[in-house]
Amino acid sequence: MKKIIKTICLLGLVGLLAGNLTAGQKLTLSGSTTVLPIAQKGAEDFMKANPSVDVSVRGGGSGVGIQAIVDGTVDIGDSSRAAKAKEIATARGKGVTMFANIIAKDGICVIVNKANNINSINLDTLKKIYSGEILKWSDAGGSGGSLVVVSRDSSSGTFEVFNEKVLKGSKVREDALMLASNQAVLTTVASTPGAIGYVGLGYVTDEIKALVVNGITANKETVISGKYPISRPLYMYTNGDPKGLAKQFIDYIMSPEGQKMVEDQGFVAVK
Amino acid sequence: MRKLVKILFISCLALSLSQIAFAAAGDWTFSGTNWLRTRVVSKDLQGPTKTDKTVTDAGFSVDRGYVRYAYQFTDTIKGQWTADFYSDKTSNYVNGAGIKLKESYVDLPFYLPESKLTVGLQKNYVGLIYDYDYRIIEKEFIDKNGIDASADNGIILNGYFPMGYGSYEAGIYNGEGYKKELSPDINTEPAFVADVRVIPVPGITVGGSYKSELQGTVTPIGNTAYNKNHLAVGMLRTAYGPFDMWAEYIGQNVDTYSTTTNTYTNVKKSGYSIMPSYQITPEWTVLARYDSWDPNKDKANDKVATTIIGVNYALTKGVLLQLNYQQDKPEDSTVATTTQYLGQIAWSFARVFAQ
Repeated sequence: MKKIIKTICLLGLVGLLAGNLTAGQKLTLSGSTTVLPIAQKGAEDFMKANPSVDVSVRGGGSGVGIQAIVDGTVDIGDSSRAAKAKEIATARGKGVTMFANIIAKDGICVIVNKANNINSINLDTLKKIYSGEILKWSDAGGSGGSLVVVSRDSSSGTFEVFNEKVLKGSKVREDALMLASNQAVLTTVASTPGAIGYVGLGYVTDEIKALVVNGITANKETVISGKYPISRPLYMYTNGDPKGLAKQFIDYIMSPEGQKMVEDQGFVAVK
Repeated sequence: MRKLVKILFISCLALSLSQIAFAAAGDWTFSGTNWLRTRVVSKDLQGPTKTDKTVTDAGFSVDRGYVRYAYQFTDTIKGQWTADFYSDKTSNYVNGAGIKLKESYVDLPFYLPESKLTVGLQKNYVGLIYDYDYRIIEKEFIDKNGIDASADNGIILNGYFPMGYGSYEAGIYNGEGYKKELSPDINTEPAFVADVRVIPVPGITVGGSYKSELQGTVTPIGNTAYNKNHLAVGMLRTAYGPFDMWAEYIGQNVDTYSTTTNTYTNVKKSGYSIMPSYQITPEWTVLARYDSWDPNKDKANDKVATTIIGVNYALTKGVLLQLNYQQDKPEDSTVATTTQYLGQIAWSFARVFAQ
């Protein structure tokens, strides 16, 4: 009986060791839904180039990504905002160094229907339009009668930027159309006279008119330099300088091929 | 001087109110924590007539339960409310459970970066009491020994140093804590508190707290627990990978009042607590704690040493199984040593509702 138990234990041990030896390397990412398309496409490309590596990508939001780095539960925490002093302090207290790898920039273009004669707008007017203080285009320097306000839903990263840079804490007017994607915003604005919306820079087409904001045109240069007022960096946080697989992955994202992929996903490359 | 400090904090409140931003879409959070416990408590009776261990308590209980509601009015204004349901021995299980208001505060924006003014019933920023996450079943050292309450009414300015180099808190409390039935407002003087944490390098945190309260006008006359209460705490945390250790040293100077002699007696108290833990896997953590508490430094043979060892197993996120062995050993060999075997399932939840 004892021999049988010994044999079972040995077989179990061998099985465990074999499992560990044959298991491939694993890289885990979680966090911002804004960064998610970059992380997902990057993971696909990276796994194609490194078949033995399993890259797991999850969303959850920037706060989740940063907390996951603090807790040591992922290798890379995606975030569309910089970590707050509270989060950095919590991390440092636990012996974790929040290292910010800026992998892309996100610029939000304000768009209107092509029939509208307005070409530029300032942040103050934009805030008044979205908060419901201005209801007619004639009060905002445009044409098209009543305003049709189109916004992204409040769970999107694009809304986060708009909320932070334009609304600054004000509530979006209750009759605003809250849409689930950049494409939906684009289509609605293109087909609705009097509509105003906002999309990521990479989604701008000639179906709509992109407005100059505070005298600055949204383009790659003004977004990278930070001159364009509705822009922000996107981060992949690591615990200290990236090492091992996390370094290889971020190196790929920062490579010419990776940065092209970033642009293909509708963001602005930083290299 | 104290009047000046009071005026300063009331001015801070006025400044803070002037910072209030426009209303924004508000998310709200509903969360809660419950502790389902089982215990076997025995006393090692070493008096002249008894030598055997005697089991004095055994059974299952839900000693505590928190229910919390938080509402985000704007990016910088948040209100939070916590009800503390208790059903422990001290409440004698009256009607099954009692209820206390544990938190009811609002965070207001303040002029300093990464700072806010917290107004209402809130955490007590003294020593490790506000960091404690019940990774060990026993209460935090300050709370366990009745040195100070874990929550109190007041106005506290709190914030973070740039680049995550630490945090600070300063303000005024009533000074009597939130357990009104045990310690009613006994005077008109507020307690002043200051607390600072510095993290010079990742993994090392050093800090200290100071709290001071004088008697002032006593209501009613004679209902005086103390004339003055000065409490100083030094803390250290070291964390490296799976290893994490918290430590604090406490010194307290209290003038207690005797209604029979109408005199004050000065009592100096001191103690320390060390709590290391090691996370073996994401699920398993082993923990230990050693406390030493001297309730009167001028009195011999009255210290108590507490030793705790335990293991935690995270069944899933929000559900923690805890097993603890605890021994409270008085320095006086004629007083019984208490041994406890404790098991607990702590479960907590949080749900954010976006508007």
